[in-house]
Amino acid sequence: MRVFSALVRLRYKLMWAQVRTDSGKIALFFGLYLLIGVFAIFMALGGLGGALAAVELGRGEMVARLMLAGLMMNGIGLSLLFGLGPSEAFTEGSLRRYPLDSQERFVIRHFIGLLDPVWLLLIAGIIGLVFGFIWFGGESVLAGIPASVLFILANYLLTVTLLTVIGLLMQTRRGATLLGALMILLLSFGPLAISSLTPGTRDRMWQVVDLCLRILPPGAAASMITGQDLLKVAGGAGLLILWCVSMFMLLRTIEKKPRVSEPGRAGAIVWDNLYDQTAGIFGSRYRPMVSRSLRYHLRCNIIRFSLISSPLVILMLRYLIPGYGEKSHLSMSIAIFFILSSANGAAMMLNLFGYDGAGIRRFAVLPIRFADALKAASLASLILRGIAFLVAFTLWVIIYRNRSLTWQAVLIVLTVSVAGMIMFNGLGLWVSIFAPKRGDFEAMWNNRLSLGANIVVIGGAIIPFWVMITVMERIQPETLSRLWWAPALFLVLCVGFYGFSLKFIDIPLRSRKEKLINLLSGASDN
Amino acid sequence: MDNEMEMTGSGGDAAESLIPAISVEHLTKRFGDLTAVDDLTLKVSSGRLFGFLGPNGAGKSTTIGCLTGLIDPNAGSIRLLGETFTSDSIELKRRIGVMPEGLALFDHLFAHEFLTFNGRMYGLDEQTLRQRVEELLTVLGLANAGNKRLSEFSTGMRKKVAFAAAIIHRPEILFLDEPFESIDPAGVAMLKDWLRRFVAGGRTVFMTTHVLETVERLCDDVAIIKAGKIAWLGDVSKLASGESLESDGSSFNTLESLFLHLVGERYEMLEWL
Repeated sequence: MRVFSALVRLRYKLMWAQVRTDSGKIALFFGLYLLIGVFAIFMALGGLGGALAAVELGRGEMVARLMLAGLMMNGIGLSLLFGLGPSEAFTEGSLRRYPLDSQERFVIRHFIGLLDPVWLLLIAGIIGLVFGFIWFGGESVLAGIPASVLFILANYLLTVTLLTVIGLLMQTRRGATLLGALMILLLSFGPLAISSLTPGTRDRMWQVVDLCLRILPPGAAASMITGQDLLKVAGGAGLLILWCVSMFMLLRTIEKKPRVSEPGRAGAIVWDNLYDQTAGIFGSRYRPMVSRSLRYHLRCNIIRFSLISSPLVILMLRYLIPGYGEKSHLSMSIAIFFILSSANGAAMMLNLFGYDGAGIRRFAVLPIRFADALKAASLASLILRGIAFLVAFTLWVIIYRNRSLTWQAVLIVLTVSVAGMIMFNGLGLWVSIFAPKRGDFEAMWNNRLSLGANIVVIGGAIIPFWVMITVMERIQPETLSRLWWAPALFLVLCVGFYGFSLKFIDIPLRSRKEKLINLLSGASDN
Repeated sequence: MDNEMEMTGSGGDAAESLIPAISVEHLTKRFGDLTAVDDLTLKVSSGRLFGFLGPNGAGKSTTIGCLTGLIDPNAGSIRLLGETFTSDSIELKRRIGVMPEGLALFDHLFAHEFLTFNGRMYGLDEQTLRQRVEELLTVLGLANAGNKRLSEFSTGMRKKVAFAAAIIHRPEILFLDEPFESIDPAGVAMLKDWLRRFVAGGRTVFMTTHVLETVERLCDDVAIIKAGKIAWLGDVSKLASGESLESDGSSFNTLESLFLHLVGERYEMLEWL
């Protein structure tokens, strides 16, 4: 028990140690603000509001089921995005050094994982919902509280099992590719498939979904919370316990399996491959560095995923923006392509040294200017992002060729996209040295961008949306087409900004070199 | 002890050259309130195998970092091969080879890709580069791992790759930060032989290590650094002929005894152990 409490204390000490850095203080401020604010919102709107609506509609169990399903999906989604549980200090391997048996290590790891701030938000929503049902619907406290505890546990175990399976798949190159392809298919064709269903088929699909939800933890918890008789409450409790036990056993089995790393592939050395040939266009000075960046970035899971998935966003264009219509097609296309130019390969573009690890030290001892390495990485990111953009642009032209696609429209979209791409590449140079973050090369889901990089990406999404809405309200599509020359001015400005950044990035980089090396090579943590 | 010292070579023609391979004057590097290297002055002649020793945190890696461009000093000057060296001395950097602290590998490249990258960065022509990459992979026992990512290598194999990257362009000065740790005995013996041949040709090796026996047998000259200052500098090759090392009026028959005397580290037995 003393080891247990010492480890829990260590987990929060490590969090506090991170907070003591400059970026940590900012993150703490935003984190606390969000946690307190969103906790209240989750409690009041998500939970209480849902419960009130359910009681008023008289369809308590169904609404509770859907609400809990939403919370469960949030738990899975947030864990995929931000990672589940604390740092590597609490992995199975790290905990083995302490006098703990395998059962105790398992409990400690997952207890610490459950204390993750992200899960507090979900717990808030669940508590809000249960409290709302008890308050407004007069449901039983005796059933509501155990239901929420069991649901949280089942939800956590389900999520962690799913993430463990994904982690196992990600260890193999084939598994990572398979998973990436599956995600892309779900993201791109899922909404298309749903929208193409007839109303009757769609109703039947929702019935199937509802039926599935009944046997999943949200359905079991909902029947417990709103259950009017003991049999229903007991049934729900039994189902939740069954979920907890089965997930627990599955997780134990998976975790006990020895992890085998994929052996290296033997084969002949290819000396002058496509990477080298492509990098050759930048001359002998930049060739080795650009070539290295190209192959390095294309081997990084998160970058590969970002590059492959971004063109497919075009397929979802009409489902992404509410109020999509023929009239607003051009302005929305401009906005989406501009957003693509900020999000496409952002993990690489805004964190150019972030995935080099200790390799960043080598740039300082090689016979180059340190800034040359940064510039080479930026050029490589421009090439890769450019290819992804060309795929997206070709898809857009093919799919929307019948939508009164004039040459002016094509030119505007092309110019704005290229300008955006170049502008964000320029910003990437500055963000990479002022807001770098040590990236996890193998991770695919975790958002490993720094606060500064996130601001650029989010700004790159919000600003064009705001501009698009303004344009849609005030300018007729015909007028917009006539302004085809205006984006060219924007392009000139962006090219100028990128050129300026490439030329003068040496100055701040010189003073931040050592800090950057220490941070990214792991000599100090961010 | 005076912190300004000079070591004159006793080897071949190159070693007797008037221009030292490495010349450091009043080098100082501070990290906030901590002075890691404190007004350090040092000269190393060409053709010498120079061991740079010191306890943990003494300033060895910081010094080597300053000498290779990884770290910018706060004060002092560095001259390599007779020319002023700063982190922007690109031409000079082409003439030195570095195995930095932490090895500085790009973990997700294959061994041959990493070596090729380094060779190209030092301007080797393609034919020489390919020949040397294949030869290095073979002699270091890494030929079968040519298409294996560096992250999958053992610590010893990673060290061999980093060493290969440091020598691929035949540098005139080789800076090695703890080159022998984690390498198997056969690998260590091979590296030692290579280093001896390297300096026999008039080139210079500057290395840090904690393995005192290796330094005693391999190095010509040694500097012991303590709290950023040179505590002792001298020729250790005379130990082989039965002579002893002198410091503060005392004689020492081994480098270890001298090191412990200078560093002042005392240890006590733990009664409960």
